[in-house]
Amino acid sequence: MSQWRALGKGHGYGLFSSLGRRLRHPFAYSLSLLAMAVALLLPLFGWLALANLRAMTVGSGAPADFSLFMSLAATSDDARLLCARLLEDQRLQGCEAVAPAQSQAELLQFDRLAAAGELELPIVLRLQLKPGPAPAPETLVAAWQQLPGVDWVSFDSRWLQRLDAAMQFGRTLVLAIAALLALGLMVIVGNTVRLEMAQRRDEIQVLRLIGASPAFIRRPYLYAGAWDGLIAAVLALAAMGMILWLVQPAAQQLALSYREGFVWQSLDAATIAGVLAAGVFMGWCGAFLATTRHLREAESWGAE
Amino acid sequence: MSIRFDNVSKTYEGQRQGLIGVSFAIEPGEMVFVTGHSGAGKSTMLRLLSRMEAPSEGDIEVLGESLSRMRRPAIPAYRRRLGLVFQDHRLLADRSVFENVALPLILAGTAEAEMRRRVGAVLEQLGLRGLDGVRPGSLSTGQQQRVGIARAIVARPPILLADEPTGNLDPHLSQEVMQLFLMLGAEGTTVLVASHDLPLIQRMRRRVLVLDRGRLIDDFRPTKAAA
Repeated sequence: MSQWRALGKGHGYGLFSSLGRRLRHPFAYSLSLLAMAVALLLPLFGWLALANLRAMTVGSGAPADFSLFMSLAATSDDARLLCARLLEDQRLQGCEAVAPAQSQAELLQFDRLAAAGELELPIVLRLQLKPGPAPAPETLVAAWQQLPGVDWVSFDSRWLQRLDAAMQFGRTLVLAIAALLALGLMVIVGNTVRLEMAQRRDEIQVLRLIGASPAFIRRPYLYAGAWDGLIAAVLALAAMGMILWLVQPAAQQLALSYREGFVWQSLDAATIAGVLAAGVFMGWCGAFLATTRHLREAESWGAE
Repeated sequence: MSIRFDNVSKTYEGQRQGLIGVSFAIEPGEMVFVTGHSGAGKSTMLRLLSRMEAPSEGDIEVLGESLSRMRRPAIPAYRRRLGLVFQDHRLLADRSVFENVALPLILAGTAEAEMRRRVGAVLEQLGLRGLDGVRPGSLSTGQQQRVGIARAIVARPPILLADEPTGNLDPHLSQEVMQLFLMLGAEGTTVLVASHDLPLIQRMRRRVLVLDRGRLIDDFRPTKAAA
């Protein structure tokens, strides 16, 4: 039990002494931290911007969102009854029945050959959703498909598919930038740790000579790296919070002009926890790589 | 057998010979001096024994383990069984005397109370009482050397390797340190001391290994103290 206590004490010493050593050079440390914070801030900003853009645009699409193609046997009375039934759903804003003759006329504008033939068209119900949160289009399509007298339901999703493709591209771009900046953060932490180890070279050699394991030597530096990542993450979140606070009123105004009931997406608990964890993890990784390399080099110090 | 050198040679880059065909054996609890001029091979011998380097030829056996065949991950545990006293002390400047001396015990996972007791006892033994919280930088060279010795012996290692341990001490303190080493020897610790101090070596009347340009040229025990 006492050995565990000693081990815990060793970890505690490593945890706090590493921070203390960093704070002895506040100016140089602040510069490193700022660089690391920016590396975390940029992808976080991109991610939040994409999330808000997506929320702003979904549901603000074309007025005729869905088309219900009735069976050929359905009459205009059937269509009217179905429209009335559908409009009982509070999520729907409008239902317009399009007669076959009107469809024929519209088709003629696009495809003269098709219109010229003996084409029998059904009555089409054009449904329009109210602005605001709505279930997934696929869910509505599946539900309406089951209605009596309905042959087929189509959802005009091309604009949404384009948006999704653009969002996917944006997400990939943000991920690629995040990966590059994470690498940058690890390099900054690794370099800071490397410099610190170089300064403490004599101490490391003494520790090795009296039998300290690589894990023991490495421990305070790993903690230092984790501290670096954590503090940089806190700074990045604070900066993000400040940016959001500054831009939110104007952005909200802009978003509402596109879509009613738009709710601005801010930093939630999961995002905050994720950024903090990512900071700690990347700081730890950077320190691990630097200490591994340094300790390998230290093997050759024996002859000195 | 505590330490055994079997035809050990060490060749550095540029073909410089650190040791050439050295063989000897040291029993547990024996105190042995290694002497010779600068460049004779004393430091090489200590570096080989502390496994900072591996021999180019031959084999070294310490506490039944072959150092030539020792794998890298096993080296820290092996070193924890040694006490090392350095000529230049090699204390950690940003840690107190207590923390410096306690390091081997921390590495061994010794309990807090036991650590305090043992560090206190060894500091008392070496005349360093009251200096527990002091940083090494504010100590005299002699005091620093004693802190280094305290660190080497606090964990009661089975083997103590000392490189010029009395080089910075006055004759009285040198004698006290040697008496301490003798006492450790009597308790079963094997002590190997590299030293230039011939009068001290003669006074101690212990086994002496004499090195010259990498070769072991003599292995004897002085029969009487120097005048």
